[in-house]
Amino acid sequence: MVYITAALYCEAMPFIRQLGLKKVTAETKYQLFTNEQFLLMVTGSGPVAAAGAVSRLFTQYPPSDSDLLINFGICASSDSGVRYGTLFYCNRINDAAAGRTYYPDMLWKHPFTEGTVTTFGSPVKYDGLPRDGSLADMEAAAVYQIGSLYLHPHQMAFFKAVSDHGADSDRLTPQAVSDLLMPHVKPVTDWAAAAASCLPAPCIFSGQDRALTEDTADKLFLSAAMKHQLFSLLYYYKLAHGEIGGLLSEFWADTDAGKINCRKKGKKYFEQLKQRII
Amino acid sequence: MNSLSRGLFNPYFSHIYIEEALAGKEETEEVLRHFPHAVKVKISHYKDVFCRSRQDCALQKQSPSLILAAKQEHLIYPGAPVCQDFGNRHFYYTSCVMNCVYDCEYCYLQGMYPSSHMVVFLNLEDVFVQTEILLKDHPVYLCISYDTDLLALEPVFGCVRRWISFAAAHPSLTIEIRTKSAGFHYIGDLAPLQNVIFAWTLSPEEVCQAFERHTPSLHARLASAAAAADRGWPIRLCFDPLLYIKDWKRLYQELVSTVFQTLSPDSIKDASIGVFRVSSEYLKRMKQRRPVSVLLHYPYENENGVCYYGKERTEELTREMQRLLLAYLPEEKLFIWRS
Repeated sequence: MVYITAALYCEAMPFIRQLGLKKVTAETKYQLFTNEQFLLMVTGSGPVAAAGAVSRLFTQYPPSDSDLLINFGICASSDSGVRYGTLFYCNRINDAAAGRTYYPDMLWKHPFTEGTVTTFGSPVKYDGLPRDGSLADMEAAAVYQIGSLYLHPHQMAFFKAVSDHGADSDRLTPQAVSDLLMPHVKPVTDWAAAAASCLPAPCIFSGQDRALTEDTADKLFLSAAMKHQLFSLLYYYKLAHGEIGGLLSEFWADTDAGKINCRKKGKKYFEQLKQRII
Repeated sequence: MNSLSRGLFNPYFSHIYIEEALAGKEETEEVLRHFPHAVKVKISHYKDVFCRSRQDCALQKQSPSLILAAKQEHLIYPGAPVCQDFGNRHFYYTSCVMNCVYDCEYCYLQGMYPSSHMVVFLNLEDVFVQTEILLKDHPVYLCISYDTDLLALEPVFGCVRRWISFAAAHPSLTIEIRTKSAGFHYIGDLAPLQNVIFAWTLSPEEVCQAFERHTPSLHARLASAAAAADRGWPIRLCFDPLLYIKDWKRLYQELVSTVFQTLSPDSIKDASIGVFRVSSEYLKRMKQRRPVSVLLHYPYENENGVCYYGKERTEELTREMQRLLLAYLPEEKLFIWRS
């Protein structure tokens, strides 16, 4: 799953339209849109709104190690040489209020220009913009902070398109914002889908394996600590031999489970099982 | 990870994080010259990147970044109990680089560091000063390439050359440069010193291929060791870690035989033998980071916080290796790790 957060509906609209996202009507607090691969939330503007929304998103839809979060939206740049609509993929996120800096991992190849974004608590006019070439937005640092509670640093990507140079933001209409962002939707989503496809989701132990482990632990009257040890042993056996069913079938075929009626006896047979595994 | 997805990763050191205090300095620029296409990102302290929470070390190994920093504290550490001191009383180690270009499945660095990005401390002179302070009190045996492979990095950072030059001026300092590299030729022009020991970690070719990703082959390592021996450098052979794997007896027998087909026993200063062992805390993290590693998920025995194969199996592996090596080396040249 690729999670997308955008502050305003007009920033989300290009994704909704191009990806054919449908509104999730069960979500009543925020505007949420989805298809099979993407889940987009409109967070509201500013760091507090963004933090609250990301927290809600990941509480309601917990991410896994194979998911990706994209924060997408407009930003300001003090550099008048940067054209409107230029998209940056941010490798450095400054939190202007807290004075902290965050660094998403940049593991994937990409076709974008990289940059730094500084997050402010309110809109910044020209004089207040960072002079070090950094972009200015109002959400990225908050999204990173909350996102990092749920995700690894490589699972978060921050895309910002320059919409103004601080002095000219009043001209922006919702339609102008959507038009500005529309060309970036396909490159960003194509890249995100490719990156997410190679995030690993190893599931070594199946539900059936867990059930077999539980069953064995019960029959052997194992304590919690011994049960944990049994899990580790069977996990190793599964990695080494591909399955645990045959091992346990043979073990129980050679063992009279009816004789095991207490932990002391169970422990004796557990030792025998260990010998077969190591 | 399949080969298709591997193509999506950035190349090694595509991003270089540079502590602000080092920006523009000559040694920084010298390193950056090797990476003209890298994205440079300024940071205030290396820990801002290296010590972030929840990093995925296994994925980072596919595309490690480089972090250039200056080390402020803990420049030299006392040798760890799980490491062999080779009879040296004043045993220390230092890390001017954290993490390694190689990707060995059993490597303790995966459990020790929160990140697979590589930190290079550029203030080597400060380590030299600290070493000189120790040398005022007693001779020092210093391992400089434990938490990395300095020889493999030599073309970019030149640390080995600088350490050799320092050792030449300090005869009571003995340094060990542990490596799996085939890069002796990087410093092949230097005159040999008896207080600089090159220590090659050697594994059966099957182990190199299965568990030591990106490392040179056994034959390449041996060729490099032979070149160093021919020049007169003291050579140490490290059969460490010994792994309890299928056919281990045959594999290690072939290894020893191959080694001494290439190297003359007389050219070997000494050799070490040690089974795989690692602190239980490190192993816990290593298992989390490599959930499909048969090697790491083996049910090791935990003895006083150190996980290993257990007394019986350790003895079996060690005794066999000792037997094999004694055919070529006298007993006093063998150093054996025992639990």
